[in-house]
Amino acid sequence: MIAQNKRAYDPIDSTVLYCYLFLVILGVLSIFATEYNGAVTSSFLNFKHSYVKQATFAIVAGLMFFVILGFDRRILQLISYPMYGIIILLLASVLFIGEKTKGDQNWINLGFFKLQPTEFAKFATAMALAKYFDTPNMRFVTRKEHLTAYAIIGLPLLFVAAQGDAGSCLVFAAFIFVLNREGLSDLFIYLGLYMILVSVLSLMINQYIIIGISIALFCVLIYWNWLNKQFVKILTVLMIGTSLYTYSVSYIFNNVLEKHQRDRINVILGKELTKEAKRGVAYNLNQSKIAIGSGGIIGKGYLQGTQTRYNYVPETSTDFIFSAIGEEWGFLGSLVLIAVYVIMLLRLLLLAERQRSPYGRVYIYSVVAIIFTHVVINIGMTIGLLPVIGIPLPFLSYGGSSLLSFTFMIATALKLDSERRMTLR
Amino acid sequence: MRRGNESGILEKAIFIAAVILIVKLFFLQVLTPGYKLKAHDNVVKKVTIYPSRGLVIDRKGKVMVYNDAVYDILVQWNITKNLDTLRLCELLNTDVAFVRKKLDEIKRTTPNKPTPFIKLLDPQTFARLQEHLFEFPSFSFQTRTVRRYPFHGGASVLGYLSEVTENNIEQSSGYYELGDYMGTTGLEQFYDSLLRGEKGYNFQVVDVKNTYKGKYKDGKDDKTPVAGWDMVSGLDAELQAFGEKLMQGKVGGIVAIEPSTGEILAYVSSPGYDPNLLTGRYRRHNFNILFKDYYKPLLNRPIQAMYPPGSTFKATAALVMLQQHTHDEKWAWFCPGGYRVGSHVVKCHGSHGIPDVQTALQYSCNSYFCKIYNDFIMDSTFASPAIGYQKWWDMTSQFGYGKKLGIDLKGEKKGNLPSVKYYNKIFGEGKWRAATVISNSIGQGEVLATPLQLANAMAIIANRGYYITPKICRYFVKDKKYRVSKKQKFITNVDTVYYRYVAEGLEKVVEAGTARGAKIPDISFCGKTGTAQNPHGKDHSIFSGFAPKDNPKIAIAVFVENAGFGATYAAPIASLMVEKYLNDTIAKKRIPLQERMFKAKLIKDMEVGIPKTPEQLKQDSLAKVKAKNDRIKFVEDSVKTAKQKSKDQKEKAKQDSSAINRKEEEIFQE
Repeated sequence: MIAQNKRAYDPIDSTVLYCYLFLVILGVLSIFATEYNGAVTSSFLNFKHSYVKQATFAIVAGLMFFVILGFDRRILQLISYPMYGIIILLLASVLFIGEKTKGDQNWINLGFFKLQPTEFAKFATAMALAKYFDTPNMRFVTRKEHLTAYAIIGLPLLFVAAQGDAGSCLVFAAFIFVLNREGLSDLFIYLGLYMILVSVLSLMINQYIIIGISIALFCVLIYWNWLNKQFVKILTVLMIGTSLYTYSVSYIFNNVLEKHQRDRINVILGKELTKEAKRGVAYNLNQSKIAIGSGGIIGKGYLQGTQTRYNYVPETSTDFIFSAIGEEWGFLGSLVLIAVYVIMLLRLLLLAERQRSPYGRVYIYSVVAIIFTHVVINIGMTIGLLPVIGIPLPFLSYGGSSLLSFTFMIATALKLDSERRMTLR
Repeated sequence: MRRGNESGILEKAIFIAAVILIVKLFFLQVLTPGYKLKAHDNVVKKVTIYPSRGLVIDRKGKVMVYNDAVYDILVQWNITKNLDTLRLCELLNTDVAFVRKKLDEIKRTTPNKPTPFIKLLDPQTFARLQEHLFEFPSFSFQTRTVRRYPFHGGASVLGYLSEVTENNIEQSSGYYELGDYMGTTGLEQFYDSLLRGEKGYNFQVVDVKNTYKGKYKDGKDDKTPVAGWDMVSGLDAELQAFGEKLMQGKVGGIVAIEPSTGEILAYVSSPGYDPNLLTGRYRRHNFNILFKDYYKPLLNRPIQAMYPPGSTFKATAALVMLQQHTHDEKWAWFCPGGYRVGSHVVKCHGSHGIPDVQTALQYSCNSYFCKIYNDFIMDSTFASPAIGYQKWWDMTSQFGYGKKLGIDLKGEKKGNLPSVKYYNKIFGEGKWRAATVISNSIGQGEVLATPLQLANAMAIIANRGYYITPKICRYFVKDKKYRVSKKQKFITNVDTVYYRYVAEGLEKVVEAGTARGAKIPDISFCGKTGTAQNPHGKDHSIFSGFAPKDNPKIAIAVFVENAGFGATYAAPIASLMVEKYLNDTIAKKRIPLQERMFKAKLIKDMEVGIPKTPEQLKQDSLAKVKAKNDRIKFVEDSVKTAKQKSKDQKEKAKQDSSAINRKEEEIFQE
């Protein structure tokens, strides 16, 4: 019995745990570095400082970690749908009672805490999707199964889009990796890449040129193999699709996106900017690049980063926390940070694959997809690879909602993994 | 129950994304240089600390130039919000349009850092603003110094400072930066490198809002400013002021030299202006007015205006003749009232019988000097008149004519002493004789000299045969260390004995000759009047001389343009200057003469001072029409009246705030 117990309850995975601890502690230290003014005064531990708040969040998160580890996995599975429902309600209510503090981010002010439902929505969606895939006889082949899975992801996505939170929309889009793991054709991934490529091209070059090229290419290919009806059919759909898509991209870009979002994209594409954009978006991005670039190989040293400490880089404690790390720890520090993320994600993937139940596998896979998207978009934007999209760097960026949400994700994943043998095959 | 795509696109995506991020970071952090410098430039602000510029002190220890604190008002546009423009205008005493225009300009150029909004604000206005500066959080100030001139004179010799140009910056090999001030005329220019001192720097760390965050490297790279050297000049501030008062309302110049040292005692260029006008906030406004003025007050007349020396030239002509033994000092020649050259007669004033050299000087006999000049050049010992003329030229140029004397001011003119080559070109070689160029003998024709050269020529006679390069600066002093420039002595090869004859002759000029009216009680004043014919108008009144006859203390030259005979204005002015310098006061019986000279106005005054507000300008244009009707109004003291006027008009303007005259408003805003 004892031996069976030992087999059934594995200790939680230490690699992921250490990575988690490393990132959370580095986060608090980095936030401290961006705020610390060089003098230890009586207000050193005052709650007005972000680092004090973040440290408090980290302690709360640690407590929550243990609370989640204490839950039975069945309870976790049981609350998946109700939690999803509550989050959807919160997301809906945010549209009415939410506070606009930073342009496109919406918060619910609870007095002592500013709740950001979007962050928790990612966690809840992962749970709900896992729960759905855990239903008996679920094969993910029928149309109904597909549509239901899409709906689970799509519902919160709609609300997030309505808030104007482009970054989180992309995170929900990353669930495509999970669906792909569960049997969705690779074609969808390639189609996604194709769409990104076409969008970038149509924004960089004139849309009509792109449409013209696709029509020309279509004619050539048809002439080459016009007897194969299947080929002609696919090609025709693709050509019309591409043309419509190209047109819609520029329509959305010019009419749906807000001005600051257009500017952010223009900066990355190297397009000519308005004076305002130069002073705003381009200036901020440039300052971030100066911060990271001036770090050099070994960095300026902890608490020595001038760019980030003297506010040349905006939002250093939240979205641009990586600038502070790049400046103070240099290329080597950045390398270590990325390595820790990669190790953590790959280890989580491994954990996902060794789950016996679809619930555990789909859930952990979702967590990996969410964290991966966050890291790539956040670091990519601070170094000028991707447009500036307000999205936190997991575990590091200042923010209670974000830290708690990611802690829930990791804690739940580890809990599921440690009890994976409890599930009957 | 494994299904689906185990191989995992996500795993590949993680690897690919990590590699892309790392490669980009490698480019950014390792391969791209320049980010470190950019970060440094962001954070480290260089704050210039301006040294105090050296003082200028006169020969008696009176301060002629000192520094006064003024304030630049700076504004950082990007943190400016809810600006109460009206209140600001009220405090700064400007109008809304100006503030808007300036803010707009700053917004376009340097919105992220404190930029001068108003430069060189006077302490009174600043004091009023400072009390309320907290109401304008984006505004700050920095202290600058401007020059102040307690004697309100000497502008042409002291010079002024102006903002450096791109050219200046290049030439200063990195010392000057945009927005600095440097000496551009006068002593300020000539001795700029000594007077200016050395700028100091503070390197400060600032955040994005430009708030001070501490010293950079704990102040290791900071530099304290080094004050400039103080200059002790040979000028006598009181004599200078006296000379300027005498020259009021007249065009011309005075140069007074201490013969034994070559030090300039007084240096008057008239019309002058109060040098305080070219400092501070209204500098450009006043400069434009001075620049456009008909009488060109910015012209440095003592070294830049060239006049025919007229009869004052005869003193050196006599010396040249005596040294060459053309005739001896006893030789006399009958003056028939003129000297005939072909069909032309050089006329003489009055009749003076048969003058010898002293009498000829006494009565300024044209015939006598034409004769000796002719005899000198046409002497049979010379193979040709050209050789004779060359000899005359050589001897005359020893007295400083036709060349720069090397005074410590820039822009000195050479004057003109026509050469043989010049006449050969005009008349053809061998085709001219003394008679052809006879006007040289009496300082007319092509001969031109600056007032400085005339004063220097008199200094030579005063010294009985030599001069020392005239200088304004005596020495520089700082912390009991001294810097003295070497003195150069030029000796003429004319025997001392001849100087004695000529000096006696010059004494007679004042005692009983053409300059009788300029006699100074108890002082043996030697001098020579001159009346230079002027093709453009009335003759120039000239006088040059020295006093006392033995052990002279002062040599002086006075030019008054278009004032008639030398004895009318120049001689009395010179005598008053000499008396003032030697006796410190003017004898009671000569006070009426002094008053007459003070009051004599030959020109009208300039409109300088504080720029007028649009309302005032409108009234002013009305006033101008009035003034036209009742003709030219001469004003007692240009500066005083201009200031008084603007004060009166300010009060008037308060009562009548009529519509704004757009066009003239622009002038007001520089």
